[in-house]
Amino acid sequence: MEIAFYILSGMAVTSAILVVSLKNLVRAILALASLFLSIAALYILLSAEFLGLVQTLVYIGGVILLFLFLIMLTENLFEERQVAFFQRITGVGLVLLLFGIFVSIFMKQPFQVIPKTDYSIAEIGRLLMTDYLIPFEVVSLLLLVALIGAIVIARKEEE
Amino acid sequence: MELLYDTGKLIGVIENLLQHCKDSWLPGWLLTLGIMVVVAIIIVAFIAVNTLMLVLAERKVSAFIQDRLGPMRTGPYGILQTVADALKLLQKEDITPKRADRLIFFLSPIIVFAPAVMAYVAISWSPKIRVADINLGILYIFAAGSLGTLGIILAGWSSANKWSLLGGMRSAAQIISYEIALLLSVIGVIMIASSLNLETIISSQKNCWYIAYQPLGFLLFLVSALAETNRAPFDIVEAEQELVGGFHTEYSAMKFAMFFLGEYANVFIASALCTTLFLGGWQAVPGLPIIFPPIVWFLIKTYLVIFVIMWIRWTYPRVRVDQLMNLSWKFLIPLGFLNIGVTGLVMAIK
Amino acid sequence: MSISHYLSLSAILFCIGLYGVISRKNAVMVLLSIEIMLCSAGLNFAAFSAIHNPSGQIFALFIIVVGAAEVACGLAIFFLATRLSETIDLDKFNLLKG
Repeated sequence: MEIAFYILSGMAVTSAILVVSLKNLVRAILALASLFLSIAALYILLSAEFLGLVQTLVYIGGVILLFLFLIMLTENLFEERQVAFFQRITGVGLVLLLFGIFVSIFMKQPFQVIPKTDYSIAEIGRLLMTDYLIPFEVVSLLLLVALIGAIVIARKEEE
Repeated sequence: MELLYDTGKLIGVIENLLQHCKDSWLPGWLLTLGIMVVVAIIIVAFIAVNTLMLVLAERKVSAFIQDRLGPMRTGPYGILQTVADALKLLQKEDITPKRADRLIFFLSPIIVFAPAVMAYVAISWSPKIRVADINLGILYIFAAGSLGTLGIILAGWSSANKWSLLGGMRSAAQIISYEIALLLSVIGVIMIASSLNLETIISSQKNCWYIAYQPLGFLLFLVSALAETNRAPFDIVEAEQELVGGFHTEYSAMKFAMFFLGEYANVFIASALCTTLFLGGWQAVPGLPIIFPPIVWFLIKTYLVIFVIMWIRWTYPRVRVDQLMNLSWKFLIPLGFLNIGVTGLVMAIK
Repeated sequence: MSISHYLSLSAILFCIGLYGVISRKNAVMVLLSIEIMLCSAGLNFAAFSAIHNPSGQIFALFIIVVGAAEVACGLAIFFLATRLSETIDLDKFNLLKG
């Protein structure tokens, strides 16, 4: 279990670094797909199998395909101005500061070993239909709005 | 042959062997790794042999539908034709176009092929013969299937060829729209079986196959599976008359063979899933005596579905791009919702 | 495995995503970095749900849904922007500036 976690998290961090540093957009998207895959595997390691499979299905089967579709539809997506060196250093500094804050918070957390859990998908479904019914409906409304919104924005103006 | 009839005995022999290895000298992780490697080799070998057979079958079926003989020269009755083709393909030069994105051009056949291998892990061949008993088996197979489409689109983009790019774009649009219809079509079965586990779904069809409860779901599944595996009449992704070869125009030799293997592996997976969900899996036909072992029943049904798919390919003309989108969004998806609603209503009344 | 392992991993991923948002000028790249940050949040929820109760998984599901909706709308906007101004540079989308 430990080995699997370290391999997967190494894969996740490497692909995340590749995503933010690669110049080529399509390669960055491919790196993002590998990040999604390793996160899905980490979910399964946490015995959240449903979450892992949904992550693969929605993100790699949907989101990544949408990104690639946009790249094929449009040209001149690749040009990019370099950020000034000073700005980049400031960015690194800010991010490291944030990471320091995170670590100082974790230090106060008690050391908790993750037990072997086994939530069934039926349990998740029941929660969605009882305790989280209203958020669930709101999210479905959000999806509908996003769908219509995307169509309205990207539609050709009729002359 | 004795062993094949009594799968329990076969499993017992393998388990004994494994137990013996574990007791004697092998460390646990090495044993697990060994099992993984052996299983992967078996699956890849099965895919390769299966593809050879299916390509020959495809050519023979098309020949008989068009009142021809098909390949006859290589071997008796032409049965060695695809073997010869495969050997020829292996000797071809591996060409990468000059302006192609080399890394992605190299990776995309692998991205198409590997998920097809992954999907075989979840199939339940016979009451005890399966690689892994995955609780969310259906979802796993769909997730693996959605990985493969990434390879097709990347292949289209990285070839730096207009035909390939058009093929890749068509593929993206087609697969996003038909994935929804495909997922909606199986929800009815999942509701009745109240499980996502393939083995549970099969054993709950002991008395009546789900095609009787879900005829609409079966039709929707078949149509969307045809589109998802890029088979005619939905093969606009590689429509030869319009796009030369579609996304794999620039591919040659082994990389082309990988696409081919991936395509036929996906056809087999789709048919096996169809058999599992709607045709009772490895169960014998209700009412008939069990003359074959379960795995033979499973293969007979799966190859029957594959035959129907080939039959459709050589009978119907290809649909146009706009017709394809209309069919999915305006027809299949509403029907899928209707199917779920009616199934839920009937279950609530009962 | 302890919870701290997962929390550290998700903190690292979040910081990498944040760095991407700060340092890239290409709008698609910024969207990719935001996806990394969303992923790390989901990982946190899943890790906490493993020691408490399954509610965390539901929040992670909501994150996945919201992420997908966001990408659909964002990409539609970028598509329109490239058609109108022929660039994807975030600093050049300043037509509303008075």
